[in-house]
Amino acid sequence: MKTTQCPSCGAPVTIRAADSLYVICEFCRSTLLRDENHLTNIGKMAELMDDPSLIKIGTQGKFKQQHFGVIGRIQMHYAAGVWNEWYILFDDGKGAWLSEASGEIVISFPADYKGSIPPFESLKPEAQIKLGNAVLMVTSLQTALCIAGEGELPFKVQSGYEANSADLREIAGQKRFATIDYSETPPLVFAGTSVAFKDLKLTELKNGSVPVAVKTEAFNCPKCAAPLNLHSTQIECIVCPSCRNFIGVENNNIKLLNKAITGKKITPTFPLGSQGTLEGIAWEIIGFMQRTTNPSDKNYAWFEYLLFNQTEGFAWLTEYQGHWNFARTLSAPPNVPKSLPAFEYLSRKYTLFASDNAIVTYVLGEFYWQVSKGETVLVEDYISPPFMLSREVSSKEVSWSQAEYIEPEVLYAAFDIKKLPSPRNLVFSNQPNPYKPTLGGIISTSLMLVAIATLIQLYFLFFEPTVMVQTKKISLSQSASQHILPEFTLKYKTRMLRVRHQTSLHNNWAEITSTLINKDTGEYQQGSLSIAYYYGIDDGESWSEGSSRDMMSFRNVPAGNYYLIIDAEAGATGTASGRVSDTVTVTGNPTTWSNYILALIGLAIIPLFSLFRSIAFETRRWNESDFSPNGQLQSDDDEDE
Amino acid sequence: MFKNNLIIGTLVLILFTGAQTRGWNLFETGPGPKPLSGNSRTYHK
Repeated sequence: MKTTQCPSCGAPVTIRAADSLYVICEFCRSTLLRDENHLTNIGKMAELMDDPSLIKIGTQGKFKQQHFGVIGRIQMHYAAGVWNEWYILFDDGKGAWLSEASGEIVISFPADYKGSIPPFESLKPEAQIKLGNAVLMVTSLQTALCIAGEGELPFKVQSGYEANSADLREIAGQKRFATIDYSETPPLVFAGTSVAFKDLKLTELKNGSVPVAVKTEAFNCPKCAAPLNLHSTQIECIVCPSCRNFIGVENNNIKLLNKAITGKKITPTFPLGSQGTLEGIAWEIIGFMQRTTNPSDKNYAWFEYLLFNQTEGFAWLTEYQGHWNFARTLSAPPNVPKSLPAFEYLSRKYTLFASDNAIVTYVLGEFYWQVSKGETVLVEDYISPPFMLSREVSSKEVSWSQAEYIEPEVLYAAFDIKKLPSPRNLVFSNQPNPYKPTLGGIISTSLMLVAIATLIQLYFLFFEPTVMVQTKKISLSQSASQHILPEFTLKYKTRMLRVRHQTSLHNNWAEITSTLINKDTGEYQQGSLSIAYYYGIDDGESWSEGSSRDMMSFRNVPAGNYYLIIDAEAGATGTASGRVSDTVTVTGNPTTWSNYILALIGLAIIPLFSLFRSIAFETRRWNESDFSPNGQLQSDDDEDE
Repeated sequence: MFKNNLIIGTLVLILFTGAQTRGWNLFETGPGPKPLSGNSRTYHK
């Protein structure tokens, strides 16, 4: 570090970097060309815009474990707003750029790239460029204007200096970033990485520390004199909440941009200025807009709230028919072609849900670009509930944001909104399926219960097997008859003794009464059966009724010696013998499968009900989509139905 | 719903085990009078 005198005003000028070519005197704003140890005044630099950035010359930080200090800055202006490019110097003498734009911080190093670079005019958003081995996607094309500079810089910088630049990003999951600066021939390439403000562990910040409260600059609307606030120099446009005129903001100067929005006034659910904490970050609502895919139908409109935090930049809340999302711009967006049915991003599968033009129809408050009514971008939504990735494509820029569904009650509490959330009538695109989390548990529990039921059934099948007690063929006649079957012994208590009758009834009936008598105790159990079997032909069509066989059971029969008495009577047989045969089969502990089947049905009711509810929820979700779950575009006929 | 499934499933298992142990069967008659088996005609083509 060296200190010398400004040749213009005599004030001390500190030079920290060995390779700084230009130094801007912080007292008289002279741009000083450095030659050996001499400084030559080559002109005055414009005043810097008053800046809410927490970074200043002298701020210290760490990037990839390497310490750096901020030694210079240029302020750039482009169509969407203003950003700072801070020149930083690492301890090993290497210089880099730290850029702040829309709340995103990127650290870029000059890349020694000698290959061919396509001309600026040939580039389009989402075009792919190969630089060396890396394939990068064009995300932004801008013509930027240098407003002012300060401190030490590695090149000559002048106010009003204009340069074309292209921002490029690498494939999903990586935060690598590149900028092609077309201000020189051949163009300069900078390779960078997107970093979070907190990861830089910055010290020596402006005001000494990270301020919590947002400092605002107050002024009056040039049309209606209503008091307005300006939260950041990145704000390019304010729509006066009183008169709804569009007011442009440039270099702290304000001017009327467009006439007021006519039509019905919309009152935001969350008023401008509302403050709340989401994901541990304090946000303030500074802007509100309505967008739609169909301006003639209010059912297609949704609301977007612009949130601001001094260190985190900007974020969004979206509101559609009682559904809310919290969204932030992605620093490492996916690299996928337009309208791809599905893709994987950070280990989640995202499926295309909607693709349409979004048109701005109503605006209030502050925005970091010059928003206007009628502004249109192509929006594609990919869902992986509770997340949603949205691609917005304009002629100059492609941006991706990731939204996460927020339960309205949580959001209302976070912003201390006292009124009740609006009812949610439909299933939103990325609304979490409330039945899905428990479905897996319910199905696995039911499978476990089915396994237990099967084990129980197997136990009865193998450890209490069916025992054949006796089979006897008897004859039933038209007059009542009694048949005493041979005596048999049950060694153990029998839970079920089944008596099966297989008769030769044809267009006939039989009344059968079975009496099971314990020979030792004289106790008995009795049961009756009516068997009837008829068949014939009516009007040329054959029919049958009943069955020639049936069975009955005696339950919980104690061990002992038994005999079975069959009292039977049959109807007129019409045969010469007048007799009907009946084969009586007695079995002990027959394994019944009907109870097992009933148990399985009982165990399946709740899982099937839960599955049905979950599928119905997903069906309602996809009914709102232009695409079926497999990514095929639905026909217009389907949409009309 | 998870709790309900567990409670109802356990009850079903208890009922099933009880039915198998005691020889209950919905589709089989026990001792006592029973209506005529088959009281509706089935037509065959």
